[in-house]
Parts: sequence; structure tokens; C-alpha cells
Amino acid sequence: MTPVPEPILAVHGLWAGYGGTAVLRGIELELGADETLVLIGPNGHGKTTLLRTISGLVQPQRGEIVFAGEQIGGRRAEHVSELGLVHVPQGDHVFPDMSVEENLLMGAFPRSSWQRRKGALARVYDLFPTLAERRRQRTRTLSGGERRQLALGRGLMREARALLIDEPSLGLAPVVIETVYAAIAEISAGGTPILLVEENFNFIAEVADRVAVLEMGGILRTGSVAELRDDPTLAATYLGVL
Amino acid sequence: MTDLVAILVSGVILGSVYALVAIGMTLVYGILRVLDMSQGSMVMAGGFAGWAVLTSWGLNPLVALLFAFAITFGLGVATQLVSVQPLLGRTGVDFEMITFITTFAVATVIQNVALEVFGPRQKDVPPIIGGTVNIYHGVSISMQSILMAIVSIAIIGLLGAFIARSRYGVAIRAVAQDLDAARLMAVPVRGMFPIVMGFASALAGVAGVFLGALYFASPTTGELPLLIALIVVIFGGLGSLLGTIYAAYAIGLIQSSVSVEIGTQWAFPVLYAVILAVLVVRPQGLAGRPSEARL
Amino acid sequence: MSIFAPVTRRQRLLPLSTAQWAAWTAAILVIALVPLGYTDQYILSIIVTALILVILNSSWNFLLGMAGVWNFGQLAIYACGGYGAGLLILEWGVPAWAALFAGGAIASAVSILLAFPTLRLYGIYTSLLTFSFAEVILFVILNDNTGTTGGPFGLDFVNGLYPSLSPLASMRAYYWTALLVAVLTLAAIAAVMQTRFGMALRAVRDSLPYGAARGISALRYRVLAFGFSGFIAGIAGALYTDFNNTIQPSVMGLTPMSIYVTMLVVGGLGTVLGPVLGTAILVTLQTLLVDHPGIELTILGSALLVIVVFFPRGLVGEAASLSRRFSAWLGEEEVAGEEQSTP
Repeated sequence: MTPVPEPILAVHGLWAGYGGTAVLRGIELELGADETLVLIGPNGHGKTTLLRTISGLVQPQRGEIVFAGEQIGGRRAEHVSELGLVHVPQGDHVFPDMSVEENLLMGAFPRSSWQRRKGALARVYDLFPTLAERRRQRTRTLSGGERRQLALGRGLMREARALLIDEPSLGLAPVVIETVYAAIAEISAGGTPILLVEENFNFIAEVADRVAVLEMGGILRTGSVAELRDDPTLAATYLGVL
Repeated sequence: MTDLVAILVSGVILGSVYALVAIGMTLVYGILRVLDMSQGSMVMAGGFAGWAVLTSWGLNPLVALLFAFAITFGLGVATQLVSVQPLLGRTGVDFEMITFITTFAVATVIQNVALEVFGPRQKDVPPIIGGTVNIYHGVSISMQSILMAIVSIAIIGLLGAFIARSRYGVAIRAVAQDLDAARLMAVPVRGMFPIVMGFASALAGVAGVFLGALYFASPTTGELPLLIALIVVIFGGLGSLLGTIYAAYAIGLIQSSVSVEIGTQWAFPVLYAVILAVLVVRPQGLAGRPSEARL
Repeated sequence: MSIFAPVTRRQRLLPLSTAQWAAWTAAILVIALVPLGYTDQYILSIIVTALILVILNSSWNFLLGMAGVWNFGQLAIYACGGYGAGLLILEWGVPAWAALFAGGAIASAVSILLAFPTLRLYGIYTSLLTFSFAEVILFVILNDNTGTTGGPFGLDFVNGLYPSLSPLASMRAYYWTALLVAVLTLAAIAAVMQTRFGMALRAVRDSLPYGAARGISALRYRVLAFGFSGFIAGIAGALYTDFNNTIQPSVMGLTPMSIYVTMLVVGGLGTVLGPVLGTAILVTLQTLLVDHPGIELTILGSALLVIVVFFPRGLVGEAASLSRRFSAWLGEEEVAGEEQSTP
């Protein structure tokens, strides 16, 4: 019998929130070493908070987070990132007064990645030709879609051991969303485990190996896209038109 | 015409030194969001460090600069650890206002300690280079002043290149523009903060050695540079390196023109009046962004 | 509804329970009785000065802590009140009591002038604006050769509020006057913070865009805040002039400013009682260190740093926060028991 492979990321009994209140109430979640897990659920129930707690921007109140065998719950974001867990945050957070290329280079900041930055740049420009065209442009002047590609590209400048991506389709026109998801599909196919938060169910079917539903600070259920699609209550409440 | 030359020369020299002191302040604000009110006392400390080396130990004058740099670097790191680091991330407090006050308290302590240790009397700091140069009819500058301007410009130039090109330079800019994003890129911000503040203080320390020779060293010599740095930094737009440099030279020129044409004691009141006018008309300073000044 | 209407439906002026009213009345009575039993003029004059500082610091706290305005020119406003009242008495023979209120009015008017430019300025820039303003006023007074303000030496002898009383009686009179004004000031500030005006000030301080979105007219509130704060500071200045029979430009400047700001921070910016506690502690420290002038500022500066690290909201602020957390903890226990945990 082949042993079940260790998940790359595991969250057990996680409670977290802001200023004493709890947004996450006992999260149980596992991300396999080569899967793309999509997290869906109503707005404001904790999807972004979960990613921010995993990446270290928010301190957990209770519970544990294990990444590649190490306990990272409570560690600072800089340390978590150093371990290879890359978080592409909601709203892009690109550096506004730098050029596209400088932003991408920041993605390769850790010393080992920095030494390989030329190759990484080439790969990202390959994946996102629009960025290559605008490499010297100030990011202040980019469109929403270009900024999204930049944020994603920046997250790819390192050999991430796992990627956290928060709402890549937020605020984008459908045509642009397709480009973004095509890139995500390529990354996923390349073997990098991804934990993806998404509001828009329409695009995830292509990339999701599994789907988890987060509601009221807890994981309601997990399953494949097909299984969830067939669940009538979920479909009605959370998923809209399929 | 003589007047004009005198004004230009004096203004450029003053401006270069002001830039050296103020650039540290703007750097610290950009990265830590702290208005470092201890910067003036670092100038004073540098002056004393220079005095100690140049009078008591009779070593190579350049050692004075290095020594002042080292001492004030250490002081700057200590200041950050005591007056800023404990306040990072605290809720319920206005971070900028309270660090304004705590760094000010550090300045008071440093000044008081200097008073106890060195006494209130002014100490003469010998110049690193002696002699003067005659530029134009009757307008002469001391070699020391020329050295001061050259060193200041050189340091600022190197700093600018470092920030624009190097790996840490980009990281510093990243931290100034979006702290959380920089943390997600594994930038070691916690270690960066004390070092940046140490470096900023060290720049002021170096300026202090020069200013000490130009005037003197005494525990109160930090107050004026602090005021000027504050004026330069806000006039130039908080956080903007280029704006600070322009503002430093502008202030230097204003000061020298008023001093030459009207009288030295009018320099500051005129400056304040100009500041008041500028702040009312252009609330973000010369190079700051409007969003920083308004809502 | 007027912005000065209380927020809560309970139309109470001050947020005190009966027990708290009793406690405060008792405390004030105790303080008031001191000069009857204790006649050391030196200590009494220190307390009077401290009370005047409480008034000044409370007015400063109103702008700095409650309204969140980086006002570092309050001492010039204070001086305007003091010089204004003094000059009215000296040059125009205005009776001291009228001059007291006039001083407050003058200071208030000057303060309102400052309100306008601060609206367009980001927090820190306001510090430079207000500080420059104070420096200009200081410069004008120091270089006054016309004999009006007396330049660096200050005003000529001003007859205060109680010129005809004996030294002890006069000291007691000033003591009770200062105490009365201090109590009225604190009550007024506490009451104002209960009104919609006070809440609006706090809202704007904590989030300027939120305030704007809620339609709070920044201009109106700023002007009112500066006017109110200026009036109180002016009264404090006039009291200073009356009590000391003169006023000098040395009441302004970096050193007194840093000391008073320390009082505010140690006590707690934005709290009503913060200035009281902060002033009390620091005046006590200063009195104890009066024989060691060299280390006084070092101790004060270090005290500030230590307090800020452990109690960043000031002593009163941290106490208030602790008691809030305690009652919340008590409250939450019950809520958690009723809630079902999600599977």
C-alpha cells in the first residue's frame, strides 16, 4: 500500500480574528502536495482572513498551522514567506512608485531567489507578455487587469513551495479573468500546490482539484467540483449560476 | 554682484549640510512613518564626537568623521529600539504622534546627558582642513566649508544610487510603499528598522562634525538643526528624497539671502513666515502627494 | 438637533453615577480644604501653578488627544491670553475679572485663526504650522522694543485678582479660584465629549474619511474645537498673569512644551483625567528634583519613555482600557455559552 502523502499545508482548529473578535472559528483544512484547492463561500466569512493568518499577517488566537512539516502558526509573515509559502494578496498590493520590473524583482527578494532572478523574469514575461511590454512603466499607470497580472507574476518569481492566491478575478472584466486563469492553470499544471480563494465559481472548475466551502468561520464541506455542484443547498446559497 | 555670489555660495553650502541632516529624517519617515525628533541631538552628538577626536586624540581628521558616524549610528539604533520598536503594532494609539513625542523625549535625554557630561560651555571644534579660498571680490569660503559641501553631496549621491539600484535599496523603497506587501516578500523589516534609523542618525552625526567646526559644540547645538530639518522635510514633502534635497537648497538660499541682505536675526522669522505661506497655499509641500496632505 | 445635544437618551450632562458624583465631590472638598490647614506658601504656590497647568493641559489635550490635531502652538495661545489680560489691566485699567474673560476671548480668537489652515494639512504638517506660528509670536514679543510687552523681561507688575488681600489670604483665594476653574474645565470637557460634537471630533480623529462620509462639516467642528480650546488656554494664561503678577515670553518655547507634552502623554492623551494625573505626577517629580536641576530633564524624558512603552495610552488610558476589557470579558463569557460551534 502506498502511504498517503503528507499535505504540504495543514490547518487544525484555527481561531483567528481582529481585535479580540473571532472571524475564523475552528478551521480544519489540508492542502495536498500537488493539488489546487479552491476556497469559496459568502463574503465576510473569513476567506481572506484565513489566507492572511496562514501567511502570518494576522496572528492566530488558537490552533495550529503546519507547512512542510514546520509549525508556522504565530510566526511573522517575513519568516513564513522565507520558508517558501508565497501569498498573492487580495487587492494586489503592488508597489505603486516602482516600475513593473522592479515589482517583479521584489518578488525574488530572498537571496537564493535573487540569484536566479534573470531566469525567473524571463519565465514571468513569457507567461504574461503584457508585463514584458510594460516592464519600465510605473505601476500607478497600469490598468486593473495588468496590475493583477503583475501581482500574480510577482508571486511566481520564486520557486514557491506553495501559493496562496486571494480572489484573482476581483474587479476584472471576464476577458481579463480568462487570461489570469489560463496562467493559474499553467502554474497548477506545473505542480505547485495552490490554495485559491475565489468568489466567482464560473472559472474555478478548470483549475480546482478540490473545493472547500467556508461559512461562518468554519469549513462547511469539501469535495470535488462535481460533488459540490450536485449539492442543491450549496448550489442555491453560494454558487449562483453554474 | 558680490552679494549674489555670496548668497549663492553660502546658500549651496548650507543647503548641502541641511540636505545631509534632513535626508535621514525623510528616510526614516518614509520607512518607519516616524518623524524622528532626535535627529537634532545626533548632530550635536556628532559635534562632540568630532571635538573629542580632533582635540584630544590628535588622530587623522578623517577618523573624526568615522568615529562620529559610528557613535551616532549606535545612538540611532538605540533610539529606535527604545522609542519606536515597542510601539509598532500597538492599537489604540496614534503611532505617528506618539513616536513624534517619544523621539523628542530621547532628544531631551541626550541633550541633558551631554550637558551633565560636557558642561554648558561651548567647545571649539577644529576644522578638518584649514585655509580659505577667494572666489570673487571679497567673497571667500573656507576650505572646510567646501569639504563639507563635497562630502555631503557625495554621501547623498551614494545613498541615492544605493536606493535606486541595489537589492536592499529596492527593499527599502518597497517597505516605504507597502509594508505588508514587503513582508510577504520576506523582507526582514524588523531588523531593517533600527538599521535605517541608525544610518539616518549617522548622517546627522557626520554633519555635526562639520557644523561643529563651523560654529561650536555645545549641548544645545541640536535644536537649530532639528528645526531646520523639520522645515526642510515638510517643505519638501515628507518621504520624498528628491523633494527634501530641493527644499534643503531652497531653504539654504532663502536663509543666506535674508542674512546677507537684511540681517542674520531675521533669517528665521522670514523662514517661518515663508513656511506658513507655503503650507497654506500648497499643503503637501513641494514634492509630496496631495493625498498625503488632504483627506 | 443641536450638535451639543447629548448622545444618549439619558439626558445627563456628565457620565457619572451617584456613587461617582459623591466620590468626586469628596475628593474636591479634600483638595479645597488643604490651604485651610496647611500654610506653607511654597507648597501652596506649587499647587496653584499645577492647577493652572491642569487647565492649560486640558485645553491642549482637547485638541491634541481628543480632536487628534497636531497642535504644537498651544503655548502661544496661552501666552496670548496671559499677555492680553495683563495688557488690558495695565494699559486700559480693565478690572481683573473682566480681563480674565477677555483674555480667554482673545486667545480663543487667535486660536480660531489657526483652525483654518490646519484643515488642509496632513497631521504632521500641522505641527510645523502651529509651531512656526508660535515661534513667530515668540519672536515678535522678544523683539518688542516699544515697551508694550516688555520684551524678554515680560510685563510690568500687574495687579491680579486679589490685590488687597494679605499674602496668605491671597494665596488661598488664588488656590480656590484655580481649583474652581480647573474643576469647571474638566466638567465642561467631559460634558462636551458626551455630546454629538464630542463624538464627531473623535470620529474625525480616528478616521477622517469616515467623518467626511458621514457629513461632518470639518470646518465647523475644527473652528469650534479650536475656539473652545483657545478660550480655556486663554483663561489659564490670564490666571497665570494674575497669580504671578506678570508674564514673560519664557512661558513659551521648546522646554516648557516638552514638559507639558510629557504630562499629557504620561497621563493619557484623549482622556479627561489624563492631564490631571500627568500634571500631578510630573509636578511632584519636578518638585522632588528641584535641587538637582541637571538631571531633571533626563529623568522626565526617561519617565516618558518608560511609561509610553508599558502604557502607550497613558496611565489613565490604560486603566480605562483594562476596565473595558474586563467588562467585555465578563460579557463575552455569557455569549459564548449560548452559541453553537460550527461543525
